Amino acid sequence: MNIKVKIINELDSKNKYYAEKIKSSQKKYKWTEPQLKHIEEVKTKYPEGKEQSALLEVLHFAQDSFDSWLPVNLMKLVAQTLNIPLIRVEEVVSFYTMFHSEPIGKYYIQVCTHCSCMMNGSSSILQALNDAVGEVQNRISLDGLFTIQEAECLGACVKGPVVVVNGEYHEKMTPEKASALIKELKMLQPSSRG
Amino acid sequence: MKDFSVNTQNKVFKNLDGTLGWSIEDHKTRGGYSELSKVLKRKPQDILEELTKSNLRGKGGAGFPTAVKWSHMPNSTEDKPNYLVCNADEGEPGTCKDRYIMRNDPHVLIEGLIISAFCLGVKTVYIYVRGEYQFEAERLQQAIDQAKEELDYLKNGKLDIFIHRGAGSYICGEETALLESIEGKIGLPRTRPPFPVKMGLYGYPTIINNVETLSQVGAIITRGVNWWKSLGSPNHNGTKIFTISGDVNNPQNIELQMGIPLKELIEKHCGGVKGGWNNLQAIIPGGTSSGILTPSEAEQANMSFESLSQFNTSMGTGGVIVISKDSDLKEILLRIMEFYRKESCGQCPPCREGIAWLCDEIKHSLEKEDLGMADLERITTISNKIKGKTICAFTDGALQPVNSFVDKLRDFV
Repeated sequence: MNIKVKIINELDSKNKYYAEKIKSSQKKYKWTEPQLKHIEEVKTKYPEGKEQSALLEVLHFAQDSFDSWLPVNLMKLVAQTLNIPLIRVEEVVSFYTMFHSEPIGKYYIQVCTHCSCMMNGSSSILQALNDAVGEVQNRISLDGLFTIQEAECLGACVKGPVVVVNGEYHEKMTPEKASALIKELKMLQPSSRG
Repeated sequence: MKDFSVNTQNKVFKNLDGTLGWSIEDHKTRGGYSELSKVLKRKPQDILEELTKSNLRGKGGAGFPTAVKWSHMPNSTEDKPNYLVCNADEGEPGTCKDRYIMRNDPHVLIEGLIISAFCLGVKTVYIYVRGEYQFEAERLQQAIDQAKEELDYLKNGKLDIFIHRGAGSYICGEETALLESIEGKIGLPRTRPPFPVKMGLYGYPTIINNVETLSQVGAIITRGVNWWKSLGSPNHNGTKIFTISGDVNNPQNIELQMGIPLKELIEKHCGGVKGGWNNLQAIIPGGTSSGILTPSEAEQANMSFESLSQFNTSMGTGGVIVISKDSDLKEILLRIMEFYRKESCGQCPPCREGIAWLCDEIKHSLEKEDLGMADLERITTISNKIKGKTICAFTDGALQPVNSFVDKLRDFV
């Protein structure tokens, strides 16, 4: 599919949050002064001429600083900043699972479903989370809040099953706790109807 | 009967469970850094000799003798630096020891790093921390900053310790893929030779060791090789952290002496198998990249490299996964294989295509009511076609559970 057509289809998506995020990523991204300073600091960890080493850290930083995902225009900015070809950035983004090349919800929820967590009931937790979140389109719930992802071993085997929300570990989960967690996160949101 | 538990005094990681403080002051009250200045006055060659005597073997999976690896390290010169890389990209399913070390005992690691770097003549250390371990990376950075303020060796710029965060990729725990990742590229393992010790990070000599191994180096050198050899069993000296998870009553990380019988580990230290030992179906002794043990094998096995290799499995990372009869072994095997299918880097076709093929074949066979010898033969044939035909050890890890599973099924078909 031609990229332009794809973008138009995505803009027509039933999920208005997804469409909004795609639309707002069409802009040109720019670092602020403090952000640039931080990137310069990251670069000093590596020998001269090896700026590409900072790529992973800078991508983490870019993703956290902007909209939690890495649209092409943001990747372009990173490539420019580190003075490397865009393709080097794109391949790294597509290789590592922590980088998102598509928009995600406000809360990125990972559920470990590997052996140890599985034996302790991770599938029922995944089910409970999906039920509590409701309808999802383009990987984001229709209220724009959640993206749920099955994950490989997250290193909490002795306290499984584990759910990670935006990097924060919730250990020894139960389906009840999982539904309560989603409810709580929904309550935190300012009501859009006033 | 020998007691394999480790008393507080002898532990390498005194705060593994996080009940005590983690800061530099806390570490000092537990005896940390007290011998450091003495050690740094010794000759690096002496330290290496002591390490050779300790028989220390890598705790990250392969179990390679640490001192042998180190002895190949050339001296660094002004225009040809050496690097030490600490592998904290813990991703082996069923293992979470490194996470707890970095979280609760970061200074044990830092002390180990300083001593290791001194012995190897290294001026720059990179710690490759798994991307998901954000909290641990921050904790470790705080600990490094504390150490920088207090320790002359770090203050004088003789050594720099940097954290490099990964971004979610199992294969980056493979040492050469890890180096590629530090260089800011995708994590594709490199061909060997040249080995990293000759041509590693940025093309310079590099030693790569696991978090636990490097921490233990610090303990061995500060407390002496005789102390280390007083622990464990003959040929398997010292201690090791085991992560026990799955169907046990008390899953946990625990530091015990090497060579502990597997049954004792589970029954005595982890509250036993859920539903009793008779309810045991199988045990994976060293993370999912090791073969499974039947209950009768598990009764005979010790947690040592040799004992486990007798049963065609390996100690790997020490991540023990206990599977009771209440769990579906087939489902678990499939889940393990799905993991390898997803995490294959895609560089070598036998791995990329083969493991996917194997996955489908296993799924298809296990769903059948009348699983026959022909099915098992087909799985073995595919697995033999993959084995040894790729650059790195990823496929060996993926095939171990399959082969051991098929071997054990043969008796029932």
